[in-house]
Amino acid sequence: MKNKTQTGMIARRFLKHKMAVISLVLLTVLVFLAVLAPLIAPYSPTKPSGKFSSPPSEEHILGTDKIGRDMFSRILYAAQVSLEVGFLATLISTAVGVLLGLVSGYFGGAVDKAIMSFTDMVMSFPYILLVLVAAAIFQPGKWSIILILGFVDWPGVARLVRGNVLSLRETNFVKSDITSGMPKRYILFSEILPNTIAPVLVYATSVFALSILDEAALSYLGMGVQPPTPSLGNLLNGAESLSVLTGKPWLWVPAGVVIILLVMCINFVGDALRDAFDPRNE
Amino acid sequence: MWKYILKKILLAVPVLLGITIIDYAIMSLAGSPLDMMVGPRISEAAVASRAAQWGLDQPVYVQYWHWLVEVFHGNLGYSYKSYQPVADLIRSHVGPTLLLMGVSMILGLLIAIPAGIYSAVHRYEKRDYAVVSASFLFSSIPGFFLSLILIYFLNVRFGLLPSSGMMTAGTGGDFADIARHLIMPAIVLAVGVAGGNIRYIRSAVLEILEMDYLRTAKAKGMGRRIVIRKHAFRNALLPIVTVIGMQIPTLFGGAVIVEQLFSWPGLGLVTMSAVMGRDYPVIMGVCLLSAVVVLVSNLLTDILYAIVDPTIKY
Amino acid sequence: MANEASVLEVRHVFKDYRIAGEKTLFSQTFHAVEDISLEIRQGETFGVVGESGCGKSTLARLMVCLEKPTSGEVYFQGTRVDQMPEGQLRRLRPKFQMVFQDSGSSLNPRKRVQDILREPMLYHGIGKRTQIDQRVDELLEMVGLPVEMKDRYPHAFSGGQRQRICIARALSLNPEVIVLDEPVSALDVSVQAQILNLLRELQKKLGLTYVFIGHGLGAVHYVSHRIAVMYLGRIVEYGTSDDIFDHPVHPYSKALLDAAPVADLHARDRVRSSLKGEMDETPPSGACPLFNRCPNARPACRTFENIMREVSPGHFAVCDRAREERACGNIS
Repeated sequence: MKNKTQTGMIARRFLKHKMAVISLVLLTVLVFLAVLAPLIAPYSPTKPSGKFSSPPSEEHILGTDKIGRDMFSRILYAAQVSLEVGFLATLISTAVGVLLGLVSGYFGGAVDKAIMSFTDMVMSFPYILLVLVAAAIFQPGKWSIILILGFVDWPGVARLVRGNVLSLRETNFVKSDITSGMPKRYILFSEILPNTIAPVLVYATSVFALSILDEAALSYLGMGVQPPTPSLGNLLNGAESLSVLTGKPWLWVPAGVVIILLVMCINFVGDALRDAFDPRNE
Repeated sequence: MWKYILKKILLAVPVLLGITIIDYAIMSLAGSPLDMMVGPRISEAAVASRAAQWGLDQPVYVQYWHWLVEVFHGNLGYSYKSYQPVADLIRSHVGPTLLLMGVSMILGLLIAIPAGIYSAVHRYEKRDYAVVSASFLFSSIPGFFLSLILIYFLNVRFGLLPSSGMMTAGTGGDFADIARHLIMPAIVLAVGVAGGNIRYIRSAVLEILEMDYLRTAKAKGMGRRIVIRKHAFRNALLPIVTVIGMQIPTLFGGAVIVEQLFSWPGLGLVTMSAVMGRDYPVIMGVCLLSAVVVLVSNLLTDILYAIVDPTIKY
Repeated sequence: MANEASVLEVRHVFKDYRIAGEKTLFSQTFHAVEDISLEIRQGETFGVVGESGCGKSTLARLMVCLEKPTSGEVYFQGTRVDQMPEGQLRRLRPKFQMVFQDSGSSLNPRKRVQDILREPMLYHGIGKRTQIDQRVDELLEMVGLPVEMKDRYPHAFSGGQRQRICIARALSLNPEVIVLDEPVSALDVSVQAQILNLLRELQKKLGLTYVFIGHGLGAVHYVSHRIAVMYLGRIVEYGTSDDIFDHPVHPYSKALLDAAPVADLHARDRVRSSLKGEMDETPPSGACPLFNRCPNARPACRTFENIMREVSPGHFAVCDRAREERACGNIS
């Protein structure tokens, strides 16, 4: 009962942010379009379906690329790939960060020191170097980019969770669990973890946004998702040629706009969530 | 205070070592640079002799150890590609990168600080929402997309600015020329810096504006402008100092991509080609340099913190 | 009283904390609890009073093994518990429970009351699921809360109600001893009395033993059979509640008592009025801890032995001068 009012309160606070609500709607639409790409896309994303490099027309609302593939279909599939990469990378880094943060914060001592200095190392590292070097190791492709981004973004989560655990560990309810003889796994997973979910969720939205941007940048540089699989980054790759840049804006502008829309919507939603979860805003 | 600094430095040393170990390990996983030279024109004997010459026939930890020992002797090694000393290579490319990063950082903060304060002071007004939305837009534009747009308008359409390099070929590059080349890459990086920091500075100022002593200052009848200038800004310096420290790795990351796009002859370009060519000594040199820069900037942040905020114990 | 078995006992416990060095690379040691020995008897309420910072909460945490003593021993029903392996200790822990001062942070905000009460019982296997559900209702009734409220989350309760839930949780595992660390200090005065009465009732009904930590003498006197007075990590005097109240011998106890009739908030100021200086003034080494502040300090107090001597049967104090005075019959 009370739970409903608790989530209700969070929802009410969230709904106060007009931009966030608009973003959420837009994001939902974009995600649906991306996920349902196979049903919506009028043409195959990988097979030519029209003339080379034709400008937007009735048959091809966003035109075709240089080998005649429908750009609208390609963008739908590209958004699917980019969202998938961003989502899975976020999932990995969040899971890794939460686990390391929990362990580090709860057990303290040497374990904490070891984990935290490793975290510091990964953090104080221009991560693009890590990504570049790692991208050079693995065959570039969707899965390697997911793993790389997943590995890069966990330190922030780990620090956040550790800080939370440290303060939760001092609460009387955890002390009560100890005096009641409850086991560590209960204290960690049933008492401490649920209380760190809100901040982690907020943080994860920004990781999600960053991952989409990073994927786009790497794919643009040719180190991420490889053609013919479309991704929002590698679609823009063609714009490096001057004729595309100047004469065929339909080949690069829409993909860029979709990236901006996705990332902005996610950022707005994350920002409103931060506000909504903040207990000071009662 | 000195003891505090010493303590921080001592703590940074193992982190630095750790970073180089991770670097070396990842790099070795990436594959041997010898793979890049195998081809029909090169005999196996030549490859083997090259391997022996570079010490690549030894186990990775031995290679790392040799590298570390050389570094302690002040020798960063020689590029596998150009046979140039890595230190020279870095020295000749570090200038443009520092110029680019420095200008972008200043430009970014020049946008972010006033915008953040303005937004905080007008909290929950239309102007505030406009600034915050703009900051979200700034941090949502991929650098390469913004670069393309800038190149399209400023270079291709109107021919106002050059789109690649640091100076016009064949000239020595006077101040105006370099500045013209610098504008676009610097804008791209500065937009990124501004995007993230506007909101950060806004919330830092908000937090300070809500503190009691500011209410007292207002109650005493001080004008809002004076309150902000005399009290709030001084205290907002602290988060700003932190931001600058935190920005460096991100900024360097951005620089690598932007240098690539604008053919800016800096470390980013060197790094990129070294990564592609598995030029171990160069990669390690750049990694070491960036790690040192990051750690030093963290240290400076800590020290500045201790100076600005006397309540922090050290 | 020799036939009354001791349930909880501490022997010569010390607890030191390291304070990170502010000016040096080295840390300093701070003695929170120094050489305390106490025996808590079956069925009694043992009060511990002292100003904030005197180490009484540390003593409470040592008693329930939330912290390990730097040296010394802790016994529960004759078994040494401070060095017991974690697994074995966990099975014994339900027998000695603790209730904290701040009921707000004592309950996980994301759990319903019934889950808070049920989960420890489930873990320790106290009965079947249905029995436990029934016991949750009983417990709530026992502490005077409507059973319907078990579906609510902690933030829906008032401070007093939350403290009742904490008591119910402490009771759920059938403890022998409950250590109450300032259980009513954060509550309104009217609510304080209700909680104190509830505690007394429960003690009678269930035969519980309490250790009651407090800084207001009023509440401690009201519930306690015996009382110990703490100062700077040491116990300076203990005896029956009436001994301490009617015939305090230690100058610190006297000062504390002078402050007793007024509300807690003012107690500290009043203490200062009959003692000189501040509590954190460090006494000369080897001297009586109260040396700087005691109105009757004399040169002999520079050498001091932390030994409890009996003033009257069951009434002990560390101050030699006070004992002599009392022996001569001129109690001030």
